[in-house]
Amino acid sequence: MRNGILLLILAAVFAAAAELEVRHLDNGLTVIVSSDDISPVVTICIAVKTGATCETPETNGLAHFYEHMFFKGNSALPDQTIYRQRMGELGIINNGATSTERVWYHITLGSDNFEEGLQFMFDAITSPLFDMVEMERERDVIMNEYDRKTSHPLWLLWLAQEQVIYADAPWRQSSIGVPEIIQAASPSAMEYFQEMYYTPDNSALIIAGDVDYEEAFMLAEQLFSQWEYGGRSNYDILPRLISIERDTTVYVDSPSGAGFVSVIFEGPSISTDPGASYPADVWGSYLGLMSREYYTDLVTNGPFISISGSYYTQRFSPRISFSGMVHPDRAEEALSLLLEEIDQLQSPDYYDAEGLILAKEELDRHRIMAEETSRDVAIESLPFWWVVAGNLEYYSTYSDSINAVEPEDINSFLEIWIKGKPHAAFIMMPLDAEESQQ
Amino acid sequence: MKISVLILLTVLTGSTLAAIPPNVEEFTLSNGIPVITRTIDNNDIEGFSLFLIGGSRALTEETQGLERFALECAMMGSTKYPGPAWRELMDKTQAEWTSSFNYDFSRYHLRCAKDDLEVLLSAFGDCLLNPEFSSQAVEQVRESFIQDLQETYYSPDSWIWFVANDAFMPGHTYRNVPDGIEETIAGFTIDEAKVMLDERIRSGNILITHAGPTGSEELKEMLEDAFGSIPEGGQEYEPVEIFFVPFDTVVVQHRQIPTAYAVVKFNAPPQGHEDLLPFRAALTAVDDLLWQVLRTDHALTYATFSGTSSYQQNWGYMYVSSQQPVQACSLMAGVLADAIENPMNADIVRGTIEKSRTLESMKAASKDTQCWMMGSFEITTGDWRNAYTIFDNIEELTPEDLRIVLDKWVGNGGWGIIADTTAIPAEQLRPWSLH
Repeated sequence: MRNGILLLILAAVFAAAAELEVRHLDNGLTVIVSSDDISPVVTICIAVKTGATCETPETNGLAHFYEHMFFKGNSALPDQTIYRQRMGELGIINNGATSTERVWYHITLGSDNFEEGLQFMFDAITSPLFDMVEMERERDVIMNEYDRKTSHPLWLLWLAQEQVIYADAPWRQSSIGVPEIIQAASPSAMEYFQEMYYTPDNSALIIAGDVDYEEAFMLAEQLFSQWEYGGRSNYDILPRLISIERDTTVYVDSPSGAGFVSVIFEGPSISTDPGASYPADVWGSYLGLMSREYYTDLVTNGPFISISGSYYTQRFSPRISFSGMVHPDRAEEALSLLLEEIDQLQSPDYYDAEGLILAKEELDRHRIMAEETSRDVAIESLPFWWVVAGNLEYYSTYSDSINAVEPEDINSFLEIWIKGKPHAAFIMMPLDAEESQQ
Repeated sequence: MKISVLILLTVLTGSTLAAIPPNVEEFTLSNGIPVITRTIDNNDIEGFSLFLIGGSRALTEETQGLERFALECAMMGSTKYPGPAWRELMDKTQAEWTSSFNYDFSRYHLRCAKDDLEVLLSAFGDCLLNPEFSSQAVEQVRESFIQDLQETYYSPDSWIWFVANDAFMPGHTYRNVPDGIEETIAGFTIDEAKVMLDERIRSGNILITHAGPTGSEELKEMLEDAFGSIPEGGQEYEPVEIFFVPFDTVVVQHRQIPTAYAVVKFNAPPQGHEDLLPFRAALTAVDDLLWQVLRTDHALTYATFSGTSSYQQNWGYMYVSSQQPVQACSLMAGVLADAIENPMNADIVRGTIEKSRTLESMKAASKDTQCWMMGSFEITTGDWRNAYTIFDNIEELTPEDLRIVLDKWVGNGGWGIIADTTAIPAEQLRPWSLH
């Protein structure tokens, strides 16, 4: 472990963020430890730079399938009976999740079982079995998950957004995938994902809770340094996905009867233009202020029931969204007013100095709130920032960078990303059969 | 502030009951509102909950949702903090308010930075006592509720619980839905909301809990300033009646959806009952078995689970979504019936106990959860300490203990099913016996 060079003690650098230390193993694994003894539990998370964005039309849904197989058996715990028995012995609460740009797995257990928990995660990440019988069963489980998604009130809206905003490669935005690929998934497809992405240089091990820093690093190194370096991931060189080339308005049927309006622009990627993400965040936070024009015009005195305006920090599909609930009868009027408001908010006069200070403070507070517990730190905050930003430097300097944002930075952001730029608008409201088909 | 009338009771420091946390104090405001506070100073985040006791018992069929409607309208602004000033304050503090309205109580929870606690409590108190009720804000709240209710109805995953209620608790007090229904929400007037608040915002209906870095002395002053002038009095409610399901029942709702949803509810020990711990442990173990049997062995579902509610009167429940609901429900009922008939595998019971320990430890880190635990146990069992001592004896539970309580409490089941009955004939969706 290259202790001397890469040890970062970040606690003092940014008071708003969780206290943590970061080290890198020789095989490229990033190890992050955050100690908090408020409760005798520890959460161990492994974040992997993969997800739907790494998929092709032929593999759409397999990153998610892999996530399902992670807890299904490995060389140390080969069948589900033994596997679940071990989880019971250790009091493990576990889960995993697949998003478009990342996959992460986590367990929480008593800190007296920390070492055993590390071993449990090591076995799961390094030696999954991809047993064919288990895969056959899991296929039906995933199909049930797919069917459940199609019953969600926003399902049609999600589909429309995939097709319009990510038209070049909509599969890269669809974590659940398509039934045909799920039905055909094979162990060799899993092995492809394992070889390509499930390597230490493409992953981070996050440990947060009632642990001692030195002990945690020592145990992590003892175990995880055996994980073989990969060097095969193409994650960092994948192309940008979001692409909006012309103004488009899409009507989407609302089976629930609820109304919803959204307008989406392309946004700056954190990997190619991280500097633009800070004014984008401050700007989005400003729009979240209920005492300012955006909320007052559209909700207090307008047709919206709720409204948001935000920038979503991503590598491949960063977007700027304006959206809110409306009465379905007023959805078209609401879109028209929202577009007028978007015109107005391109003026520097739209933003006042005090509001910008509040917006920055909000971002700081949001971060403190989002990291209340060590489990929040381990499974929500750090996996997101480590994967999306590519390292923790962005996370560690975030607060300072936000506070350095000036009004002209926001103007510049608006000039580059919104002014005169094409957008995609979506109106969700009940449509008759003919309208739905159109 | 009238400090002299505050009664401070230091409850525990170094108690013999190791599970009860230290630094918990109880006191009462001058108007009688009880307060339970746990000092936790690991960071600057405060947790504050105000419970309004009553829930379904404070409602009738015609007023379902009225308390929620009145409170949410009140939270749009007050005399001292009219709409724009209230929104300005929310912007400045970035406070997080969460509200929930359940069968036993309504709860507002505040999560904020320590420095903002005082001003936010003051504003909250003013909203409760002197709400602005601007017609514009009231209509905004109404529209938002109706949209929420429409989405709840449309989503089978949300609605299935209400379908199961049709089978399990017809005519019961808990059928008065605290969130309201579209028909009642659409008709409430501002005057009705005002009357509801006038009746309900009484010291005898309120309990406050707090978890965070602010110490009890400072907190007392803040709370007295904010809530000390709430009028005394309140409602006395009869205990909630026991559920009675005379025979296994199923209510089926047709929808054209690709996967069916099913929930079965059955009787469980009420809060505070000695059987509740083993019963809860048994349903947690059954949860493990459902995963094993329905998901791992038979691949019938993505989501299946079981558990026990936490109300004055409780029920156990099992849930599954499946393209093959007949097989899935039959197996689900069989898992429970087997657990009633035969003691469960000792390893599974041991695993349940270990996982319960982990879950209990996890709760200690969240101030929101601490506030909820202390408040809900105080309301439903009469003593907040039960939230911490309920697990004291869990290590001693045996598989036979779990089997005995299941046998004793699980009676007839009330099944709710949402399915495409053009694909699965409704007559196949019969109620499956749990014994």
